[in-house]
Amino acid sequence: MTGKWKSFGIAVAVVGALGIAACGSSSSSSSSGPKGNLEFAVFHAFSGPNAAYGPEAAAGCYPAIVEINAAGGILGHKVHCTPVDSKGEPADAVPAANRMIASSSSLVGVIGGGSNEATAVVPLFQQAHIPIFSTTGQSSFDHNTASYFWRILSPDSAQGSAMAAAAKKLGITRAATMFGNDIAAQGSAPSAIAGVKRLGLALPASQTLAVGQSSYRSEATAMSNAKPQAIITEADPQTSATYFSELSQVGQVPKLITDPVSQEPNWRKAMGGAIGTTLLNKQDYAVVAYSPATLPAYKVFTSELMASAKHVPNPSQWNADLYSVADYDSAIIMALAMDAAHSDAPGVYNRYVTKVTAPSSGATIVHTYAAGKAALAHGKHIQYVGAVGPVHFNQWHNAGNAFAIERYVNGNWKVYSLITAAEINAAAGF
Amino acid sequence: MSVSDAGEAPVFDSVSAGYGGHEVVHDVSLAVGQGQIACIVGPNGAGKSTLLRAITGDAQFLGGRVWLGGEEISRIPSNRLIKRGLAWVPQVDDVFTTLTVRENLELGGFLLPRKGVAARVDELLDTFPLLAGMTSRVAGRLSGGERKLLAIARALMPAPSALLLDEPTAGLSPEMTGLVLQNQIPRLSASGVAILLVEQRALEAIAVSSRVHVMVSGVIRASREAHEVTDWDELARVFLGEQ
Amino acid sequence: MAVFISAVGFGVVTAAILAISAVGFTLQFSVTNVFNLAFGSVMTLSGFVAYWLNHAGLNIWVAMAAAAVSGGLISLAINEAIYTPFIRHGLNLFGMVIVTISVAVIFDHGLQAAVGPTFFSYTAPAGKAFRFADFVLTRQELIIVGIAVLLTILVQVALQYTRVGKAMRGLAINASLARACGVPTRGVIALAWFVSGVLAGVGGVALFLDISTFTATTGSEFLIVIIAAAVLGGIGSPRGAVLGALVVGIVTEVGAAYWNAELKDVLAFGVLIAVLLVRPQGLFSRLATERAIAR
Repeated sequence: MTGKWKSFGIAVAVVGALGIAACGSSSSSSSSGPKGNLEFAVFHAFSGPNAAYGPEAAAGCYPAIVEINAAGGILGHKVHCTPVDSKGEPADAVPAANRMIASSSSLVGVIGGGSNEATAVVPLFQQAHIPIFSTTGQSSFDHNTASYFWRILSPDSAQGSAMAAAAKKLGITRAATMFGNDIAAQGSAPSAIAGVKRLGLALPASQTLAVGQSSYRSEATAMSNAKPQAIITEADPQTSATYFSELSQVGQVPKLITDPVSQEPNWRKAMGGAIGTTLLNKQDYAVVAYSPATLPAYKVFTSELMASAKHVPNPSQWNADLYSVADYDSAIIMALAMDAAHSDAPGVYNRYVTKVTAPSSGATIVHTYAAGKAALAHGKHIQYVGAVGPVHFNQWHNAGNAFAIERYVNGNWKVYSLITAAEINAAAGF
Repeated sequence: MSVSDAGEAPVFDSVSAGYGGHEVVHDVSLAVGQGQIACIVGPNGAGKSTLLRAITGDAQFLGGRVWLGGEEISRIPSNRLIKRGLAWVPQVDDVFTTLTVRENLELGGFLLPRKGVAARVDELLDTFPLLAGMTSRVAGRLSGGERKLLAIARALMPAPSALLLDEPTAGLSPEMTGLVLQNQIPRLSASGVAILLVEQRALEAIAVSSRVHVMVSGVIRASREAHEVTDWDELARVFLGEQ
Repeated sequence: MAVFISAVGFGVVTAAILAISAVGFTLQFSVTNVFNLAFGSVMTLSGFVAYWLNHAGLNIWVAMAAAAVSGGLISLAINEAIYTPFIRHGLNLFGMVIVTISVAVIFDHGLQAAVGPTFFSYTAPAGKAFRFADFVLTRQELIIVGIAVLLTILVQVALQYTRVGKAMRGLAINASLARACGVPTRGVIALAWFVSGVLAGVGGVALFLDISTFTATTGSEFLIVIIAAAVLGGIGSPRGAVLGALVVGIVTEVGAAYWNAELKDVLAFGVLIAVLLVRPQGLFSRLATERAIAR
């Protein structure tokens, strides 16, 4: 994208009209002018309480530009990552976004917009016709209609749906639920309960516990009497330990369908002390977002991540971080869409995002930017299968990741079974 | 009466007392003979109670000395005074309200040998027959007079040689005032206890006392043998602060 | 009916565990008039003493006895080293509450820095389960209930019938008059701190066994329920603390069984407020009026 086009594009964006027409004219100018740099903005909190979100997303962007630039850049342009601090607050994020849109002459895409600021800033990027690949967990984007908004990962509520889907996958017909009444646990409780019903499983007990009590004997007795084959559960370590220790006294502890909390050392220590590690490991089925370490794109991501140490301090800390992985895929997808569109104009290439990710017969499956660029250059259709796996956007521009049931075996978490996005959608009612 | 011939009885020698470093009672000297009743009378706020409270640790002892049984007892911790034979009955909060009558008496005998407590309780119940019928009643439920009798009986449990009584008739009915002042207190002194009585009801107190001290503004203005107090006009003038 | 009986039964177990600590809290408060919010920290510290001994191979009940002694000594030490100087300077009741909160924060967070922000459990088999209809009790729970009953009766009998117990009650209601009777108040106050610490130690280990896992701040987290039991019964009355614990325990379990597990403590504290509206002094009041801190 040239500076000349960009200033024209910004003028259009600011008045908020005729975006498509303006961008349509830009594709020709981009091929004729000097090859400038393109920018991906990493728009996240780099300060404040959620200051970890920014570096986490940057750890996805920088490996992607290493990959892209090594393959010769996009349409001849080198690509940069530009961190922009949203501070995790709408009050700070909105002016920061406006400043960025107005001042940055080579901005082609945004990686970011977390749950704290997405609602406030997505309309701004929509109006400016700049694609934003967000990692917000809010369910309000489940039926998103903003054409420039894209979400690779599942919303927070998918965790509950995945737990219900896991119960069905494990052959359970009677699944009870037990959730703490804290905010974290209540995030997935409604979708888990709805999922159990939607999948036609019996729900013999559905408990919400006041956390931090000295006794749950009455609740544990009621659960024991309900005789579930499995309990779908999320509660803090203390509440879980007290409850399940009392459940083990009044009856049997059935299969436990848990969430990533159960993989935290504190939860395992508390629960291990309460019901014994042998019983815990035998009954626990943890349902976690799936990031397949064996995928070719994931291997490329990890090696490019290690090559990004100049911009990403201590890079290995991010190599299993699902958000970093998804943000890496976001940048690669935007780059491939530009190649497919033969244009770095956001208003043009945005429509090509699904064309480089959707499965279709005859499409060449690619796992790297270089391979995708080469295939496109030969006039082929491509499907990018990224580091998070296939990215299949629905009409709401939501893809949704797969989940895995993991079991703790001999000191390691092992994938026991996969839950596909389709199975989760069935539980979620999509 | 001088310190040397005081015998068992308490002697106050130039005592000053007050609160928070502020002197209320100035340079008081007086003594109580064994088996006698001395009373301190005076208007409200004269410092009568402060003098007693300085001995019992509830007000500040700012100067002077107090002797009992030939030994100095000023400035020793108040919970050791009873070992020296000094007992007292405060004006208010004079019983353990949540304890029964019997328990109040038993606690009064805290320092007695364990085996002697029950017998001593019985002795005092004989002395105060009014209390004998209500030993298991909680002290907080007693009438004002019953309560004061219990307070006195409690103080007498370890058989003290001297007893300080801070306005024992405050708030009592006329009948109970009569019972306490004209009946019980004289009987106690007859049994050999030296009694220092602080009273608002000057006339009744003087009637049962052997010696009278008039305190005004923290100073003893006059000391007389009780039977010498016949000039009521003079007493009234002293009360009003005239010399 | 079976559900009701089992909920009441479970309530008794919860009550037993709360009662041990509630009696300790109320006893010390009634004698010294220091509203000691560091009580939970004493529970936790002695709970950790039991943890270390237990993991060194000691039987949990022996470890509990050791926790009792160390709880007593910790409680005594806190009073002598920290509270007494403030009391001598005449700090008022409210000021003392702030001091006790500070002590609790220092102890809890200091301990957390030492042991880490993680969870600990005793090595103690729950033992054979005894089942009566829906009502299941393990051997461990029966022992805890037994200990609670024994200790609360012991405290009650000691206060009621022994010389030092009467002195303690006398001191609680009228320190000045207790001195007039020759009661060595400093010694009796020290004894009250020690006994209260012993009960904190036993109560802490019993609670941590019951909830099966604990952290450096668990004692303080449960202090509010313990205080609620004590206040409900009438602060200052060990008998009241037991009764208050029974009300809190049974109301929460019956509420969870019949109504809504999420709102069990809403129900319990609702009952607390309702009782205090009718009887502001609690079920058994010992302290008629506000007093100064006992010295």
